[in-house]
Amino acid sequence: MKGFYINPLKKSAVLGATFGVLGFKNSIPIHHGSQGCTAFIKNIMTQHFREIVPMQSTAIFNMALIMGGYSEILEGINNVVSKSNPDTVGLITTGISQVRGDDIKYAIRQYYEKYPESNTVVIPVEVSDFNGDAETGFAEAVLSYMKEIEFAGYEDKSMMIISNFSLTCGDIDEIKSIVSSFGLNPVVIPDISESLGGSFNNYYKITPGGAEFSKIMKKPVCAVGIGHSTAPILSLLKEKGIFVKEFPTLIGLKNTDKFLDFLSELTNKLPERSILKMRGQLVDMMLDSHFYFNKKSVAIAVEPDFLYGLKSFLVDELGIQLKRGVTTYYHEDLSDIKDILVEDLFELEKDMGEIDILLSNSNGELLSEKYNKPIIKLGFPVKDEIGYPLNIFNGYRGSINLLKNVANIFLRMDEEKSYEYKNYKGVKYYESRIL
Amino acid sequence: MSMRTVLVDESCEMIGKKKASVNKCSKPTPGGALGGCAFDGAQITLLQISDALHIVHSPSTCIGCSYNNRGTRSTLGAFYRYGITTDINEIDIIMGSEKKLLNAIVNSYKIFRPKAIFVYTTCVADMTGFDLINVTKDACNILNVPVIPVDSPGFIGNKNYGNKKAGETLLNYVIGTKEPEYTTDTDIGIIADYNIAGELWRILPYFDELGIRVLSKITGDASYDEIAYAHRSRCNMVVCSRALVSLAKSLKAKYGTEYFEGSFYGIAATSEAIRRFGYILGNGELNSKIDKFVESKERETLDKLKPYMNYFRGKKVFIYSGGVKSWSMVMQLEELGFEVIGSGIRKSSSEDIERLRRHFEGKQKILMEKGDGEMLLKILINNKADLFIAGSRNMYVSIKGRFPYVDVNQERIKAYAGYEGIVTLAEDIYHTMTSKVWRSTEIIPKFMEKL
Repeated sequence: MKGFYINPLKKSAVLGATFGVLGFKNSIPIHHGSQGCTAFIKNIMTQHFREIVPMQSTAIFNMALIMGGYSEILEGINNVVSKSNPDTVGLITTGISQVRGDDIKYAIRQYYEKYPESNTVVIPVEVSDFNGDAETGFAEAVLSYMKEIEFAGYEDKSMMIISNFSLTCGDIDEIKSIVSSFGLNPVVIPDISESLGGSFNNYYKITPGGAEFSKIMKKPVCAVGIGHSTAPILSLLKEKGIFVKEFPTLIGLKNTDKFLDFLSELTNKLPERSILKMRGQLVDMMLDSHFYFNKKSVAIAVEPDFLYGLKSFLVDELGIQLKRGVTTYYHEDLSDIKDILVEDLFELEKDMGEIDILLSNSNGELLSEKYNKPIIKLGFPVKDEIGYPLNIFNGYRGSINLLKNVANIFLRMDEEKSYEYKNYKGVKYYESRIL
Repeated sequence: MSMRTVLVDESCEMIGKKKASVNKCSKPTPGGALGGCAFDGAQITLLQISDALHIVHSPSTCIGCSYNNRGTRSTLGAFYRYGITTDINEIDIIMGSEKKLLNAIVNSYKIFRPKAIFVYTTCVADMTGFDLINVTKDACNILNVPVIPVDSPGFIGNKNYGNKKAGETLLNYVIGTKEPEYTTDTDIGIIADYNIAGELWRILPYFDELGIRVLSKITGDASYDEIAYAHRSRCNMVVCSRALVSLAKSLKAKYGTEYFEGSFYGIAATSEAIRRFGYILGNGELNSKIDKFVESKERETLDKLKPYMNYFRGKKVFIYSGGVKSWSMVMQLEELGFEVIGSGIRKSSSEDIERLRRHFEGKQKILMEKGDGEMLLKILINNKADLFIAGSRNMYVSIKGRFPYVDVNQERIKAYAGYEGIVTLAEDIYHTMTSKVWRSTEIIPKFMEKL
């Protein structure tokens, strides 16, 4: 431990919470902080999603900071509500307001008293920059929303799916299509694929889609949490009398099999033919590509839930070596990986010489260029690729995609190596083929 | 810093005017503010000094994922692409974080061996009441390299104010601390060009050809040393007028260095900038050399632009950019043959705006101070614009409205400055305007009609 970060991997809980709020329909996150907090997050999220990403700030300024009071919260919420009338506002605290010790729940009560005509539900999301990471912040936002919901009645076809920070829009769509193929109605909470997944719609100031929020909801058949970070939400739902089930990941053959088994038992139905076909393709591809994984190793730097998923497919199922895993907080599912660090990207410099592929976000580019090693970009932010949010990693389809990317790099490496033996100096292999 | 100095922001032209406008200028609107903060502003000004390390004393939002996000280029190193943060946590806030910061400075020095270190404070760090100046002094004593405190936490103001604070930091701690090996009669400085997409590298060869030495670039592709002896320049040019004009003013007051404000966007502006260096350096031989150079360059560029200009003639464009670009882009696009509907004047100084007003006099044009995507779309639709020029944040506005678009802000990856730059700009504009994608995405297949 050097006690500071060089090129950090960790994103703040505020960013994670913002993600979470953006997964609800007709909603907007408002950061209770100085305007830079919002600007940084907005900039990076716009680059990642290549979409309009609605968010606002209470813009704590020097006087407000010193004098205290909640006028900027009331004014901020009222400005946003009167402009765009959202269903919900996620009022997210930041480092500055947490240090000052602002009581946002009190401020929200004041808001309702002052503007009794407002239909918007303001939800307090208490996170800070200096505690936790984006994954926990995301879960915290979802938990704050769930606390506001009362369950009454029963909906016998609906299945609640709690997502995590690292699920892409493509992942969510894939999971929804698997669940609906069993005749269930998937309700993903929060659902960023509807709000940030890209669609050619008109200009908007609040999220155009996402999970629908209402204070009273019917009980679903069950609630499935994807990722370990969903545990606190699942235990809250369990208290509310809902049947819950946690899946640490849906990446890889084994994990998808387990999920389908569960759905199959729950509905007493068999998976559709198309899903079975895809399973066959994945199995076939795993067999075809395994020749190229000999003595290959990777380094992975992502949030714990995603890291667990990648590790269980690439390492446990395909036999690729994990030279080093870097993540953002310690999480007990990862305890069987010995080379895991809660650190920054700079820590990977020691291992870059020995690995073949780096799996990390766009900031891994620095390492990839310096050590001339290929990089597969995943996680957040991926700002220099088109369509990253549509990538699928989960389910059979996602596993096929991931495997294809990894395997082709290994394949090319092996090919290039074979031409080195022929000793064509300065002639690239594709030229030498023509010769 | 006292409250008074915070509130009286000299870079703000509203001071001395009506009381209402003072408030409007110095306080952001809760619920309606989307600009960067003062820390952001200070950092983007100094980050380009790339043989110096930049350490941010902050929790994770400030630098957690915003590093490695500038389109700037450098020949001196890659420190500007690194984000170094002390990652303040709860314990640090309670127990104090000075030791943590000192440790970060000392240890990152051992890893990177930079020429100097800039240490930035942020909102949360500042609220713990830690002593930035003392920590940097201690670090300086231990390491024996300059360790410079940048006291610009986010809550003290907006991005522009941060730019100004960075200028002050350079003036107080860096400029004047070293001397160049030798000086010449034609040493000049270029202030506030950050070498985005390597733009400065398109300009520097002009000065080489004319025998003018660019002594200091503040701060595009700059070394720490060249900033340290920037006081020996004979003439400074301020490229982005609002951000660092106060630095140029202070340099004039302290060292007598003449300065002028100009731009390298467009043929006319580039020629004017080069000519003004000639006037101020006051050398007859140089001036005739400049005249010859400018004439041949202008002719050459116009020849290259001809095929595009025929296409552009009479096409309508709206420009939504801030600061100096509000008028410099107008000139540049008019040179290309466009009819400019109007321009954004966000972050522009009163001089910038005055310049635009004079230029547009007698014509019905839009000067837009503040606008969200909806307003921009309305303008584009109502005026039947053919092209939209803006920063990347408004890119998706143009895509939603199906308007061809060119990115001119800091994240851009193409260099549009100088004589060659305008040719590149013309090529990019022509490409987006004639792209087949606009047509092909309009076609609705049969099955969608049946839905």
